Amino acid sequence: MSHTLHRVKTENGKTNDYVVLIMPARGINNQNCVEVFCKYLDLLASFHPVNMGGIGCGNMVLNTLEEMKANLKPDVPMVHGVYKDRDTLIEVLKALKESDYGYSVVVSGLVDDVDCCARKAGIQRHSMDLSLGIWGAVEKLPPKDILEITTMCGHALISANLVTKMIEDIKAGRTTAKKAAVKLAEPCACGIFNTDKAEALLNELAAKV
Amino acid sequence: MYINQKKCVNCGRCIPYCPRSAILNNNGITIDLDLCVECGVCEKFAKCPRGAIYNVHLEAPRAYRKAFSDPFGKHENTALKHSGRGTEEVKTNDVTGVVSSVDPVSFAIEMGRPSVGSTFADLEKLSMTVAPFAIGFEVNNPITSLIVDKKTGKIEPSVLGESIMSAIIEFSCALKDIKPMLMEIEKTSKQIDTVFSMCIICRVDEETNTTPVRNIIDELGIDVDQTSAKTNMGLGRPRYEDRIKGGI
Repeated sequence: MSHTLHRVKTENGKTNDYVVLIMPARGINNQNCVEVFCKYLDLLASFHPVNMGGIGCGNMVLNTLEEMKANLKPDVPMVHGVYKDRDTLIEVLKALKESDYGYSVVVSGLVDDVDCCARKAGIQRHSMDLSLGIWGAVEKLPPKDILEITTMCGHALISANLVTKMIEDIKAGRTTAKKAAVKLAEPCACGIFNTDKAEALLNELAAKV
Repeated sequence: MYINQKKCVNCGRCIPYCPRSAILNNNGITIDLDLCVECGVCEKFAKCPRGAIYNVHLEAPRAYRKAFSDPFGKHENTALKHSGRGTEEVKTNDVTGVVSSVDPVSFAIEMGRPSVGSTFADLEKLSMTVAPFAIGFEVNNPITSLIVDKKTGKIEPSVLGESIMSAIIEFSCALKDIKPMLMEIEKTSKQIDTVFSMCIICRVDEETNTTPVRNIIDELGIDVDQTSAKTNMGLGRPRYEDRIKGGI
């Protein structure tokens, strides 16, 4: 899966959204993964992510940390933490390097920015997955500012129509941007939807309507 | 997915939740089964006040929709050998060594992403475009098990009419073939009725902290600051190189 890749970035949204993904290699180092994932979740949580979780353990919007840990099973493939600024990302990377629990660590963000953060954490990057952008019938896409919200779920489970509905509800005073961001985050099974970023974008979009 | 008309009170609450705009209000709320990709978002998250949204046990070929669209969906009633949409690719590359040198690289073309969805027929147009350039299709990718002819990229005919939220064609390719292949992909991109997101998975030369792929991308004028990349930090253990040396 490439669920944390291809997050659309507008000019204002380039350094407020980093996904840290933790994954063992199936059949090589995933023995005792429930126990090891618990240690990773504790580490990720200690840096106050805006969201975290994974398929099979739930997301932070619908679960507490203890519930997510209790949900872990041997078939959970990976866990994530989402952070909203560079300084926190650097500290998380330093802690991951120091703890040396042994699973692969992948960071999603702009490639040069993430490399800069890695070097500040004393880490030499190993490999990368570079997005070449969106091709084909791009006229079918929602506007870019809506895409910046919907692409924060890489499984495409957040509907552009729901984002539009949330913007209308905010404008009409039926909900707040914070509550709307949480509602949008619910279908994101991986816990990678950045609720802080969504809240800010929803406020901007509602002000434009 | 279906709506039980005896329970539905036509409140329309579920309509905006569908990522495919497949829930319609035409004298009653119904789901367009051609558009529906069986992702299950309506049933799980719209919180229907009457519990009117339901599904039935899916058989092939429709079962392929769920397999590629619902992250909770198991690959039941399909001939797929692997679950999910893709593979571990760059995520565990420091341990697996799937891409262990700067040449060749690995490509992933994700049909239907973002937000639009795709048919397997459109997917086949891309798999046939890249097949002549592919050193090999990734064996652990579920789409690879649907490619019935690896030389031509032809897809299992029985699924071609099915729609999915997204699916990934994953293959390796030599550096020298990247530019000509991208030119062919660009031509095909004008003949399909959907979008696709594309990426290159490559090893970083750790002495220089560079990769030759970046030069090619820059030459082609592709702006890597429009969307996020994924970077493997090399913290996985045992490292691929150590496993090879140690025979692990």
